[in-house]
Amino acid sequence: MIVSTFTLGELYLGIDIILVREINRSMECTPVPGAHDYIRGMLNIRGRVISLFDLKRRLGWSESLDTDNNTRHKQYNVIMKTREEVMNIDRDMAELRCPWQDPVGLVVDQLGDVRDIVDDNVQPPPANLRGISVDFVHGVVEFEKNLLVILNVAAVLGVEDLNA
Amino acid sequence: MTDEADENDELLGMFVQEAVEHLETIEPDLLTLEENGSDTDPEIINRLFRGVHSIKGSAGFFGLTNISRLSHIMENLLGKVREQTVEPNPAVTDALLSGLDRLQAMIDDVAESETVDASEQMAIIDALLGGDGPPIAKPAEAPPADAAPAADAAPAAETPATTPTDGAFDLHNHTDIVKDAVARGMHFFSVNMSLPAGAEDVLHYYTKHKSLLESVGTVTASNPTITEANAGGYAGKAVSVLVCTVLEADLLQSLIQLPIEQIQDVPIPDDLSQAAAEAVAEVVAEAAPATAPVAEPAAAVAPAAAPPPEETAPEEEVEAPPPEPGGPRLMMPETKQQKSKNSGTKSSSGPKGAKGSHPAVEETLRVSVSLLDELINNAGELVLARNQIARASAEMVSQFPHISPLVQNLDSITSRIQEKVMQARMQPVSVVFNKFPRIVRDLARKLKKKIDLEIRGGDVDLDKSVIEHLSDPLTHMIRNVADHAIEIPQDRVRIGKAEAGQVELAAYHENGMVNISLSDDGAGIDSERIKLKALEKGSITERQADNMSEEDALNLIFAPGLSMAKKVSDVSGRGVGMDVVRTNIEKLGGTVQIESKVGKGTRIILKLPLTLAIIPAMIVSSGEQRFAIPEIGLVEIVRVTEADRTNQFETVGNAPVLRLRNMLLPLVDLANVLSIQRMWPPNSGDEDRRERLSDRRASRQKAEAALLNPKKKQKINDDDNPNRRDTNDRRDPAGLVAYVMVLNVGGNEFGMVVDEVLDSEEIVVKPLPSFFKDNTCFSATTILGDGTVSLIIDYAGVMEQANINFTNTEKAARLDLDDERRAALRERQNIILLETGSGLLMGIVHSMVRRVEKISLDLMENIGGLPYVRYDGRTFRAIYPDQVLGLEGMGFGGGGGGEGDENDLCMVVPNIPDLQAGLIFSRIIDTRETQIDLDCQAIQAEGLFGSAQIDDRVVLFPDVNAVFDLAGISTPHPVMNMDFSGLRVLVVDDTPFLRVLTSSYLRGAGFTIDQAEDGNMALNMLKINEYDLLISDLKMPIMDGFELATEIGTTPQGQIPMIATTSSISAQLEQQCGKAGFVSCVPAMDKIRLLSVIASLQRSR
Repeated sequence: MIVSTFTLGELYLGIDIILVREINRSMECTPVPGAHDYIRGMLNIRGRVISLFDLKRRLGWSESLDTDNNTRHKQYNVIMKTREEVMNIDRDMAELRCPWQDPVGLVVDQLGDVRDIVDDNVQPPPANLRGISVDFVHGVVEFEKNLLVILNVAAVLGVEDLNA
Repeated sequence: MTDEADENDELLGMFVQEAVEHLETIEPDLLTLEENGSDTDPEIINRLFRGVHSIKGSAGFFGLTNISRLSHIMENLLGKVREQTVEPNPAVTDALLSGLDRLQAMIDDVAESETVDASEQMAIIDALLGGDGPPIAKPAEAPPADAAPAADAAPAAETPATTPTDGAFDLHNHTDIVKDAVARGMHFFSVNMSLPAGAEDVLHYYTKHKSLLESVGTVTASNPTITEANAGGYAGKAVSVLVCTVLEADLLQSLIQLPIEQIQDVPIPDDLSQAAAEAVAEVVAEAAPATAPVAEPAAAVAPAAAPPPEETAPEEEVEAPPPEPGGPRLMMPETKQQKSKNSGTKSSSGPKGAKGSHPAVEETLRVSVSLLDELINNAGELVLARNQIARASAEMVSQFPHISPLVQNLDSITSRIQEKVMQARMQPVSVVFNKFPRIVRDLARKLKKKIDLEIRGGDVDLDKSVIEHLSDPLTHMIRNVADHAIEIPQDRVRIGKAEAGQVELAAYHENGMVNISLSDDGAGIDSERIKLKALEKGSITERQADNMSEEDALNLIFAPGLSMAKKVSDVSGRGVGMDVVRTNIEKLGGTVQIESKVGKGTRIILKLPLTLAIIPAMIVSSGEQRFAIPEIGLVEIVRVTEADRTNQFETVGNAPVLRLRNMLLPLVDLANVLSIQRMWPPNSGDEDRRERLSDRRASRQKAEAALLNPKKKQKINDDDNPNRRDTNDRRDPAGLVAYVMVLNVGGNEFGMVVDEVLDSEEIVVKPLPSFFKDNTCFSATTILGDGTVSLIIDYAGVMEQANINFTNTEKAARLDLDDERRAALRERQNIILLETGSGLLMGIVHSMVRRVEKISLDLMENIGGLPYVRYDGRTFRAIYPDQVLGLEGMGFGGGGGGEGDENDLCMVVPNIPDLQAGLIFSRIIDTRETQIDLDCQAIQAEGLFGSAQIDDRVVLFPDVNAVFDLAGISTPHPVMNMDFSGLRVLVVDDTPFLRVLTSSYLRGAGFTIDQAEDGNMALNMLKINEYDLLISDLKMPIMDGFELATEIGTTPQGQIPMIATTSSISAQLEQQCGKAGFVSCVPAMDKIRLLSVIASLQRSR
């Protein structure tokens, strides 16, 4: 599995690259009144309306640091592929891991490398994992003494049940 | 393997699609056949035949024997109808229609079609086939029908009987086909093939060529017939095939790639061609262009036969190019039009043009909706990009002058592309309309009525998404019409209507919308009966029913749970439906109108937008954010400035409302509903220090309370004023408060307060991401001109979110809807306009005056230093009102003096009992019946109610009683001197003048006074304060006096004494007042009577 990695504070996170459509710098987006606080808003990327999830808030980090405009502008949007797009590449993957139909993106702090991971090395999350609920974790991989947490994007987006 | 299966699925899908299209044409044609019987245009019968035939052919190919068998037998029956051996009577069309239904069911679920039982339908058709007239020898009938499907066995099994054993074909054996062929200008060829030597290749070779031939014509006979079983035996031998085609020999040769010598023309025997020509002449006698219609059937066979070669021998198809460009492979699944095109090109011998009744031939291509959507999406982006370029280039024009024509060009191309792309989503409404003839027919039968349905404007285009949602509401409406509106034939005849009900379904363009109207000449809707029904169901109150206009009453049929059918039938009458119709239409951004005349008929008009993908919208801002408000429900935009604010914002039952042309509009602040923090000034990052609207409202409420409670007024003003100055300073100089978007949701209007209105744009609607689906305030998103995403407001959702309850205000809005009615309600006063000696204009209400006398100066006397007038044997004390009120200085120095006789004066004797005094004026100007907008602030003086503008002149209204008091003439009546201080009274009157007047009387008597403008307001005030007395006008908007009295009776304040005031008193009115709970009813402005009544109340306590 090839994983696109990034950081969120001290947390080292990864998403299966098949699910990633593009990554770009954070920009102004339109807030959605009445939506959950972890939804930063909506963004127009080449005519597609992208819903942006603030990953920090979604994981329950309460610091308000990220509301500071300067920090925001240094962040990145990881735009996910839609189910339809994944379907064209890998049917099984789409059915198992990509239940969302709408274009959506996650806001992260820093970008990391793209890493190739041996699937067998992916472990269940340890009990003492901090900063992220195990519900959002697909698995973890030890990497140069770092723990790479592979995100369960469907859970993060709260759309798991759509597929169930 | 899976590929093959996929391909099969795909082909099966195409078959279903095509079959559905056929079914769609078959149904209306069958209805025409039913209606016209044997007079039916032969072309229609042909088309029917062809449609059923095509289905049968393809079904056979896919091994769908059930479909194939049913369609086969239907085709046989149709064949007989076509030959006129079977009369197309109702029994026949019935059988065909029921067969069609079954066929439809099978095609809808192809996978299960084999399990569907169609034996009943087949038995009926079979009976008809057998029963009427001697059936024509089957073999002669069958070949044309069976030749088409490439199911090899079928023709092979049947043809031998008619095939002579020697190589030559005798066309006498195929008279029917020949007849047809001649009519269509077809040729017969005998194709002689040498079969390959290898036994295993024989069948392949034979079927390959046969399929090729069948793709362009009909293989009528084969000599010998090669079947799977006997193929081996013919290895290396010759075989001849008789083919009937429109192609010439050389074309046929190029198709099958055989030497030209092997294709022999088979001449049509003279006797046969003669007979055929006669038959044709007969059939087309009345059809204008003789050749066109008869040329049509060629298509029946050809396209139906087309798919098989594609499937069984795809490689041949490649090496043998199709006879015409755009052959079966290139055509996306064909439409009706395409088929007629095919026939047109194939029957090259006949004139190509289509008959008048035919739709114009147009090439079409089937494209998936998702592709279209993507195109639309990108076209939208193109527009955005264009806008950005246009903006950017504007700055560059001076440097690069040649850039502007380029940008202009880009601009126009972009617009054209967008327009065309949008058109691609359009479909004619006939897609929906076409199913109604059948529905109406079935309903008419079931209900034993006669109904003629006329459809107009089927070619009007609507967006696909609109069309899709139109079917259910229209079906429901049509059912209603058939069930309720159209009377049974006997009744219709009795009242002089045509036996058959006339129903018209029409689509047409109007004001950029598409209107769909459904009109009938039936019984009409009785608005009274609806009201009764609604009353019964408790949807409206009796009072509402009384005040309801006919139009409003008719609109009640859209209320949930109201069915007008006297009895529930299985067609309609369950009371679910019309409300669903309205909901559905409104969901599409449309509106529903209804008009009806009892006994004459009803017309329902649906107004629909052309498209849902692009809508006009207002871009507004609230807080820092921009939103799009669809213009469809936008009634108007009201700009409310600081100056207007006090007059226009009010509260009714704690709900903020806007008084707009006398209509009370519930208000919702968009920012509040969405919980947006207002940032002011924009981008400062500071939270708004302005008052939020709710606060402004609160202060407004305070101000209101202050007004009603004069003692507190001063204090409130003190802390209110700085606030006001504040808002003035922060907002723009005009002191703008807000914009109110007046929106209409399901007939109810409300106002949405926004900060600014920025722009009106055509916006491209994009669906709301599913993550926000539970948000009721937004219906969709869009991308604005600068590329940012914006949310489209869903009014109904906002209304729901804001918890607007229409029960109170709706009634207000309804009653107040038109200004005229309101004006009529507003009482007019009869006033006398007089001029004082100092040139001041004064107005005195007529009812206050006993008489006006002209007196000459010499009647004036000075007694004890005071002026008196001797008149009519009595002496009146003369009062100069301007002097008493201390207003002489304001006059114009005896302005009117020159006109009248200097010696003549006017004396007004007031309607005060036992008062020997009169007011002296220099002359009467006029008497006038008018509304008085009394201004109590501009000119203030003791004894003066206030002033008003009449004919652009300021007229002063003196308090006549007070004037005499001031003049030191003690009013003789005892009540005038009573003191009621410590008692609190609520004065309810919608007419400001009367309110002020009554209040001033009572204030003089010591009362503490609160005022209310209508019953509703009074009720609210009663909840807050305790009153000792209530005095109410009877005629008021929103809630009148009677209603108020009745309402109060049900509240804890029920015991409060109530006095009614009225401008026209009558015994009947007094009785009514008593019934409503009033203690008494007095004429407005009759101070003494009013005080007397109060005094008597006081005594009885």
